[in-house]
Amino acid sequence: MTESAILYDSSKCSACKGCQIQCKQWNMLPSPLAKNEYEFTGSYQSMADLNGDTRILMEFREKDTDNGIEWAFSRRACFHCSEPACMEVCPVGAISQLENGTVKLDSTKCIGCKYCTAACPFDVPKYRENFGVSNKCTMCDDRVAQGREPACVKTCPAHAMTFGPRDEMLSIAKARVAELKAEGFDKAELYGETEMGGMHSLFVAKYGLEAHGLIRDPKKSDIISLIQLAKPLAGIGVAAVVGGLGLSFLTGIGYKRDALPDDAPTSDVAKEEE
Amino acid sequence: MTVTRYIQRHSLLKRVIHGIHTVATLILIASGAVIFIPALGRSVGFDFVQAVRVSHRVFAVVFITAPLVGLITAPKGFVHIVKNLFAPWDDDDKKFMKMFVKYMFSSKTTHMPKQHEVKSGQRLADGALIFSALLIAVTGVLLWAGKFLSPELFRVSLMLHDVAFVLVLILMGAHIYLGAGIFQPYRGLIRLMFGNGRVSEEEARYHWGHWADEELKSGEHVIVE
Repeated sequence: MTESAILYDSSKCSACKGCQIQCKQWNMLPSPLAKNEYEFTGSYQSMADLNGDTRILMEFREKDTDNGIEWAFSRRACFHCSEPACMEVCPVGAISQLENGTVKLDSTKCIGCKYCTAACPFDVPKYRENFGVSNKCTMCDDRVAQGREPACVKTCPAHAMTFGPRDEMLSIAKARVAELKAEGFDKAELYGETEMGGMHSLFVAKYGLEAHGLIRDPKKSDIISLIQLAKPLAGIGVAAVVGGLGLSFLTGIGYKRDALPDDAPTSDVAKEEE
Repeated sequence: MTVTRYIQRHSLLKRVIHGIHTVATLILIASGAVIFIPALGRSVGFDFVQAVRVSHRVFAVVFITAPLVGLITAPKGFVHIVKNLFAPWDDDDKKFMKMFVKYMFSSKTTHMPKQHEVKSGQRLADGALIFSALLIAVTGVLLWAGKFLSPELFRVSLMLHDVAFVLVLILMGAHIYLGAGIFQPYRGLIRLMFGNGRVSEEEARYHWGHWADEELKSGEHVIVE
């Protein structure tokens, strides 16, 4: 099966947040009903970060310029890495990679251990308190299986998001970056082509990666790598102890206390006496 | 009629708390292994892992509460344990440690020096076990309260919890091998914690010679049958 990808072009995005709404509607994820329940973020951004009920968030980064305020918008959601750290650490196999590259979290299998939240270098999976499971974008695999686009892509009025074969999306993205550079946006970059083994959510960063809050050259957390390394080492350690104790037991077969009287000299004393 | 003298080594409270803690620890090790080894978790299936995860939290509470109950109900006993842990080492203690590896692999021909109430090797092992237990308990509580932690602190807690798990696993293996009397010279010692807590004069002299001398001289904990 061909690999698919979502392409987000920040230069076309108007940050209308329609994608946020549509994601919640399609995936039946609630929003708080009380007024001002989310703490004010200081910008038009809805909330500070993704949460258990929010799989996609439009981020607003503002900058004062001579031409007034300029915004660097970002689509914050799962990048669907080719080498997903979250999948590696999931103890029950609730996270899987579909043939088209989608990294799917099956909440019916999730046990809420939060290992995925710790492993993701982007801090994307979030714990859903009232359900006791992790939650993240599934790239609307149910829609995609029926030949449709993910809900966020479908609803984008500015066509800042497109969905299709990854190769095609990469070609479009590269052409767009070249276009932006030609227009004078020197720092324009493509994100997701090679990062984390190649991601299935590509990002055209109009003002460069840093301006959009993207991590340059993301890597699995060192701590998570250490934990992964510690597991085989732990196995070797435990095997060595079990082996050592087993050998000790075998050498002790036939042991009789009577053979060593209470007042027998300790072994090294015996040597000294010799 | 043959008269045997026994020394009461462990109180009923200590044995009960040790028993409860042992059960909690073994269940926590088994349930932790299901999460620690992803292949194991995946092989037993979601429902089982979910049940195990709930049990992990229940027994984690027991694991933390049981020693605290001991500390509150018998503070003097707790102080006694700590004192023994940090007791100064004499020549026999040092000699014991030097000979310990040889003893483990040639127990038939090795006679160990006299020991005080807690053998020097056991003091080290107990210290390591207590340290690991504290580490696993603190990091476990932090992981449970994960939503209040930063992702970085959560990751560090996770790593330390795993490190402590491996330490507990290895130390418990050795503790059970010796304490349960699988090691031939220690045979029968299991009743000290899982029986009436008494040790015969002969056993006491063999394992803790200095302590046996003191106890038999004072007679405070001596039982004659």
